[in-house]
Amino acid sequence: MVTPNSFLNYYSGKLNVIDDSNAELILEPNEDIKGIFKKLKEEFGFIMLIDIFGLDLLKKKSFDPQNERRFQVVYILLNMEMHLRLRVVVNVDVEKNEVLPSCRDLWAAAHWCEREIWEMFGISFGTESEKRLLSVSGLKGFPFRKDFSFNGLDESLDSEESIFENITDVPKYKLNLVDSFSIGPIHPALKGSMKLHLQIEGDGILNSQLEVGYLHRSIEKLCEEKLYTQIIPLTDRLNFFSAASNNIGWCKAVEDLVNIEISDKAKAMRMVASELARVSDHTQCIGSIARAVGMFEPIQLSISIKEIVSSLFERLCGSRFNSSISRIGGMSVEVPSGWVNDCLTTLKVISKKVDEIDTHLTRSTLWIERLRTTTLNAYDAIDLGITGPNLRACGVNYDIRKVSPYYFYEDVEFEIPLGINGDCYDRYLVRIEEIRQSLKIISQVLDSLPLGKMCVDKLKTELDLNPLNFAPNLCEGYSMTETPNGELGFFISSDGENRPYRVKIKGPSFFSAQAFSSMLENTKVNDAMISLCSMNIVAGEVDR
Amino acid sequence: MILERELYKSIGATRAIAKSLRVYFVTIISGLIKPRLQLVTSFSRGLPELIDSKNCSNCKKCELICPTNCLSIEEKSDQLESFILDVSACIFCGLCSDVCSPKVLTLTDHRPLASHGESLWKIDLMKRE
Repeated sequence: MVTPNSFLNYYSGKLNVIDDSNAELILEPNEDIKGIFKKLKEEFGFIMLIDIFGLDLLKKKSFDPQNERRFQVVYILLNMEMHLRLRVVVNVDVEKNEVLPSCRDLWAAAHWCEREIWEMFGISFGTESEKRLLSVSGLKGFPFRKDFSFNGLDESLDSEESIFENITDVPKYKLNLVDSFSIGPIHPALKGSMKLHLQIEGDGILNSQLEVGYLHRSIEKLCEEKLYTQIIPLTDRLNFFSAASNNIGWCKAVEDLVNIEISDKAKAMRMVASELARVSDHTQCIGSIARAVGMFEPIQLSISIKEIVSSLFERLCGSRFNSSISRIGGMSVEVPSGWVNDCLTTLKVISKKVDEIDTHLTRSTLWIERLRTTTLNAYDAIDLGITGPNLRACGVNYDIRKVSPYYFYEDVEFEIPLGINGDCYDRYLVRIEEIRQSLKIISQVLDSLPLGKMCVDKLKTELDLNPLNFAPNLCEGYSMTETPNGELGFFISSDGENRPYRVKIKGPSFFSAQAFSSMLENTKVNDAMISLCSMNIVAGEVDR
Repeated sequence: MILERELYKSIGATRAIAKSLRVYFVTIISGLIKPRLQLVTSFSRGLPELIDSKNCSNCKKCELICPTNCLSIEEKSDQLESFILDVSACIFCGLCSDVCSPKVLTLTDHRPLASHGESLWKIDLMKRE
């Protein structure tokens, strides 16, 4: 039996314990990295890989080019039983041609992360990782390095590779049925641009690949040039259907970094705003599945729910979608008078409309038959790093609101719906039940809304909270919230300046998109759009 | 909470017809009877406005905080010369009015979305006052 203590004792020398559930392990590339990872996964139960990202130390003040290695690769691992998070830092020097071992075979989620690190930092994980994922082909140099300057595109590197390998194991009489085609880059439910390549035999899918990067705006690089407060409008553009919860995630990450405690009312309103965003995001998802199936009544209903939620947001902060609702140290606005009453009345309307969607869809034979596709089992889901409702639909009970509760999630009563089979139908059921639970949370919070102000001028901190001068001390940290699509994490590394040194955004859709590429095998072509919508992959979050 | 297994059973034709008839009549009748939901008229965030240019302290904080660099302020011997806003770049985030300490820059609720020429996208807030 592995306990936290036995784990702590094993790595006692190298391990920095940050708090009860977070620790950091620093490795050098000459150690047996693969062996350590294998031991971490198999003996200490770190079965899920949350994220991998690179860090260029070149312009850091404390960096000593003679003795230290220039790059760091950071792995964030999760032990789901004990809720331990481990940050493994590997120091790399690219000039000495150091190649890190790929951990694709340990965690399947690592593949796209490794490709991203290679294209952004030039840190190689073997030949399999050296393919572009997000950026345009023909880009010279590695854009996330601190000494990168853009010198135009090299067209000679722009090569058209065939996406699929030729199929050999199909019987000869079936060969003329094998074909390949692409759908996109326009997403049917306007969730951004992505391209779906399919290799088919008749109408059965043999192979599939999701091409992303059409919406890549390099938000992480932009963040390095902006003040901490200026990043809030940028986070609106991650998952644009639930902008409020992204804002809140970012502000929470900054506040966790510098240990600011915000006022009780701001905490409560942040919960309300993020749950409202969850309602709107989930109804949007259900509406898009209904559109893919071809049932029209639920689309109207979902649009009307979205409309109600966005008018609530408009009344609260003046903006319907890109809300920029939170600020570091509080919220951007006070609650307007009468808003709480309005919100409580509309909750009833929303819950009736949700019931109506339920009567239209849940028992409908057409709906059940069309949605019984693309089953994902719990083992694969964890291996692929999926979080959020897509993971819970496979029956894994993991929700950050329950596991490591932030704000007042401990004090409110709500339940986590879990699916059984992990197919599209379960993802639908989990989402519709989560809407109801969110409404329950909102009504509980609004019933006992703490008194006070949302933007308090004097918080207990030594830092200057003025947006222009706000500068955390030399520190780094990872903080996560449960957004509608899953775990949204922000890794912030600060150098003592008023702009972050490096920001890494862990978008939940990134891992769903990676999983989706491999999920479509052995299904039919007309199920492809339904499963794409049911995974709720939003390109803004995948490409960042 | 594990979702009930009963949800996974499909229903027969008679029950389905009865159910859809019920939904059909309930929506028609409730649509006729129920009053329409009316929310309090809302304030939407729009273009920034300079209420009182004389009290502006020329601190240029709004210019520094703007995430899209759409404000540009020119001054001549400590007097505000022009306060130019690029309408096509403004995203109505409200950060400029947050940092304005004399509170002379606020957001209005109008968003002009059409214009005759590109030059009109840059407006001087001093002259609009």
